[in-house]
Amino acid sequence: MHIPDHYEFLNHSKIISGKCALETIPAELGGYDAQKPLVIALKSVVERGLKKKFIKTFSNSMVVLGGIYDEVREYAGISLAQDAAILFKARGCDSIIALGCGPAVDLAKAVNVLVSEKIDNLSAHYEGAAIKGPLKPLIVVTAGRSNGREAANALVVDNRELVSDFLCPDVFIIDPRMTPGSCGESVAESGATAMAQAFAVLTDRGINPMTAAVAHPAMSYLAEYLAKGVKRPKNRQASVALANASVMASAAYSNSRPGMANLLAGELAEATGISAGRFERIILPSVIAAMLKKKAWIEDDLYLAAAGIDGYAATPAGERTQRGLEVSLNIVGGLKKVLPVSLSEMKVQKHFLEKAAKAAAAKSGKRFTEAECASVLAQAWDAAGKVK
Amino acid sequence: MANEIAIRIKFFSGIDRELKLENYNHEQGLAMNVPAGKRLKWALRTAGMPAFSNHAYFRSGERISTRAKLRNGDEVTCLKPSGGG
Amino acid sequence: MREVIGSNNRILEIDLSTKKFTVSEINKKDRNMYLGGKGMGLKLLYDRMEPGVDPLGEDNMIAFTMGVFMGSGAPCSGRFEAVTKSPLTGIMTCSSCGGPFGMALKTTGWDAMIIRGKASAPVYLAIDSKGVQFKPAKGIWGKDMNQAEAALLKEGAGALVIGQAGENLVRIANIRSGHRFVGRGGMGAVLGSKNVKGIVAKGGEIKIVPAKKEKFKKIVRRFNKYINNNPVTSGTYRSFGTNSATIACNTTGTIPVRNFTGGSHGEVHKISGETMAERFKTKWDTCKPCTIMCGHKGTIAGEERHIPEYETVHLLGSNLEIFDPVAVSDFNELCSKYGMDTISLGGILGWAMEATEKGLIKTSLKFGSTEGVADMIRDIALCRGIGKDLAQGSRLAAKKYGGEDFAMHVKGLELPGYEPRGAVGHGLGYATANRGGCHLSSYVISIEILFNMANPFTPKWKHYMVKFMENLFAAINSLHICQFTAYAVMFEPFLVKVSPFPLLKVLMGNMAPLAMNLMDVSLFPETWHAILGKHYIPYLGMLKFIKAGERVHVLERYMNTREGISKKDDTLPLRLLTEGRKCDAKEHTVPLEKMLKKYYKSRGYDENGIPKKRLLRRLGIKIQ
Repeated sequence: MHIPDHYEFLNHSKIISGKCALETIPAELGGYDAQKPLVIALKSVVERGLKKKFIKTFSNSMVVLGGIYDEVREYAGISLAQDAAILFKARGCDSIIALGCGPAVDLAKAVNVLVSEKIDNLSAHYEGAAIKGPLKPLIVVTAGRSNGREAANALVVDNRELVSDFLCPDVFIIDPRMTPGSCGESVAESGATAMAQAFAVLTDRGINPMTAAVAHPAMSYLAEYLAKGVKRPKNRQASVALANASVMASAAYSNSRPGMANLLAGELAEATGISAGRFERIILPSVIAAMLKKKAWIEDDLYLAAAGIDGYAATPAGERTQRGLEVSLNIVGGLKKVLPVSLSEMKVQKHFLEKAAKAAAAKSGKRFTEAECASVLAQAWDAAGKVK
Repeated sequence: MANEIAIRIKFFSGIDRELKLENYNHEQGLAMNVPAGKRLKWALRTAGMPAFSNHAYFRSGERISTRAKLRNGDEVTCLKPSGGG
Repeated sequence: MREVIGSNNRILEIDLSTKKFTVSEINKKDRNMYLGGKGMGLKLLYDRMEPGVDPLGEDNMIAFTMGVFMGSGAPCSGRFEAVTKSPLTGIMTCSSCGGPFGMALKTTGWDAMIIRGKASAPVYLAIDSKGVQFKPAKGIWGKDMNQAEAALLKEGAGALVIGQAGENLVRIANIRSGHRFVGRGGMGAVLGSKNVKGIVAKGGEIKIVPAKKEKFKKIVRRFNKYINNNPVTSGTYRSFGTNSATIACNTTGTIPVRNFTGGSHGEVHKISGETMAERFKTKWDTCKPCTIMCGHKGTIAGEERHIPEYETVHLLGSNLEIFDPVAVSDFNELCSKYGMDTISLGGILGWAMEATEKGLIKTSLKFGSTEGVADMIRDIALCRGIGKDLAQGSRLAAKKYGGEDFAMHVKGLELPGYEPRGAVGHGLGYATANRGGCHLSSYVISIEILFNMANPFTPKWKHYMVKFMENLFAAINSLHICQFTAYAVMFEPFLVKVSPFPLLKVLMGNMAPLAMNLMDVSLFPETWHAILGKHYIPYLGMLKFIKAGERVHVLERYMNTREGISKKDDTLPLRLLTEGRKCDAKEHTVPLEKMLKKYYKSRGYDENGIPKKRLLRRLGIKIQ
């Protein structure tokens, strides 16, 4: 394997996955000398009745839930963070549990900064001030749709990103009682995000042993369980596997560079207000097709992760790159029944494409040209029928 | 008097001008003492309003009719129908 | 002067890129199906413009369309429509204006004008009956609206101009004609992007005459009688303008206060229509012709100014917790000078004040303070400092700086001056309005609050009221006549007049379709037929008229769905859906989901809000 001249990798989080994972929370909190967490929950998670299940697991513990703030919807804004921080202080809480993925985690991180740093808003940090030290313990109970940022050392509140190594959650709880998705569409979106992230890591020329090690099982889980999870969102085994894949892909991706699909999807999501996961699902096949056409060189890891050791061993070394891309294409293709497959089907306004290509190329650090990005988007425009 | 209640009627839409109320102040409105149990219609007549069927009356944000019984401390807003923009 | 019966049916199509123009005709079928004004504007662009174009690019088109009523002498008919793809919302926008340009263009011999392409250098367009001249705008580019309009009016009877905001592509820039504006959706920026500073029409080249003169005269008499009998159109509008609704809305908790966190305020009487009329000695300053006369001017700060109307007063006043009418007028004057929509500007400033309060941006703006507001208005118009970002509208500003949860817009268009938590049907109207946060699309608050005919807090039948009013107003805006005339006409039918009010209210609350269909609006189609000399069949003519309104509304929706609009966009700002208000005895929000589902069903949309093919076929809309 290639040895990089230099690499860095940060993953602070402990992952507790499997049956009765929720019951370990009191012990985990105890390890941080905390016993009164504030729970920040996604509204959609509460509506699905998961809050009740969650509370039940604390019935025999010494932990007292300081409060449950369940006003978190799709958008994480400072107003909500301020409200939750007030609740945190008023109830004398000492730790935070995010119940749900995506905005609940972003918001929990923001509340953590507010209460730990004893500040009212994040304006100083947006202007460059660093987070001074370790924050309160933060546990994430994964549930609902992931935005691919949960395990990252970053938060996005009010569409503004704040990066600090202290922002990594301390513990991830992946419990089969919480992970089943509400619908195939939601599972597919999370899956598409994880897939795009794992793909970006495994095809990045700057791949290092650690990002590869973490992205590898993420891709393997996706290859095996994504289609199944989308078809049967309530399937516990598949949902646990996909939740693991999401956390792992997110952790690896936060130590890697964004791929073309991630950048383009991010730009289009910003322009249209539609989630990036949907665009990633559409754009990734076009990115892969462009790589196949270009015969781009990538590490064998992609194929090994996606096809498993048997398939890998049975394929001549010279063909593994191409086969890796083909298998990836198949994995994404499995989502075509639940998510749109082309930008035209999404009714994205064509004039956004040019701007997205330009912005993505500018953010890629000269890895992709505007023309390459534009070409991928042009293919993604009417990709219907072309995806396997 | 024990059987009297104090109410306040605020006139807008030029009704105050039509009633020729002297030194009328929109903020203060018209303070009146009326016998307990009287209806808005009675108070409006007493204030000198000749016709009031086309007007709108509000008490604590709720629209009321001229047949509504008045309560002590009531503040009634009296308007002509309006259209907005 | 040449006499023309009803309508010229001539379209002037201008290509700025090639500096050429063509003349085409409105065909009979389209005239019958889309009437004119808004409907015709949409149809013309539907036939000519691809979806997905950049609103500020060469491929976008802007249409100015006159109705059949214009120039005929029908009451309140001095209105024309502008239609384009909005740079603020990215979808179709239509805006009605009562300025003199409409009459000038129609009496120059044109029923519609479509502008496409982009001029290589700033120009203004001089229109006469033969066509258009492209004249360099060197002397007026960079000038404010007052100066630019004064210069153009030397060459014709009516002009359209943009201010510096339009030139700077401010997405809330408007277009002015006289003291009236093509206000919403940033049409000024569309003209600015095409390097067009203004358009002047010669006017007075033809005379419009109705085909059935005697019948038309009789109808006009009846129309005027209705307007003069109605307490709204002849009373409060005439005396205090649109701002006459301020006290009623404040009393019922439906004015925006502090960026839509509240619905009433103790100081609001300071900016009411009554106070302004008394303080500024107002007199009429209306569109022409007009019988209602809601527009006023008066003496403010020692000079004669147009009196701010309801929306301006509330978006630049109560929404910012500013209750100084002179300050509101000052802001209004700045908008008239630079050319910006006061509603959107107020929404943006409200967002900016709250964002400042929450530490998302740094400005000197503060609720309740006029300090820094005028400077910020200038900065937005001239795209200076943070004003450059605010000039993109509250949606894009919030995307950049955060605060999307309190950016008060629907589909990118900032909300007008009615708080929907006090009138939930009006909230549904905001969510479903085609151009975004628009009060005029259905204006159900008139039924809920102003005429007190329905419980404002219940979602019951609100979907039907919204649908009915949307169809009616789409048809009225296609005739084209002032929307306010509807209030005079709707309550005139015999059954409505003789029914006791409580009975009507019970009927409206429990059997809204029956109650709404009691409203006889046949006067509108009757006038249209008299002008064009067509035979009018009572009742059937009215049904056809309402169907034409439905067609116009659904066409606009369909055009928007081609731009990506669906159920996800038919929503309200989070604040209105999730936060209760302190001013309410019992906190409540807008039960949108419940109403929206029924609305889609009654409209014939699928569950994602897309018009079904069956509906499009029934309305004769060609599927593209």
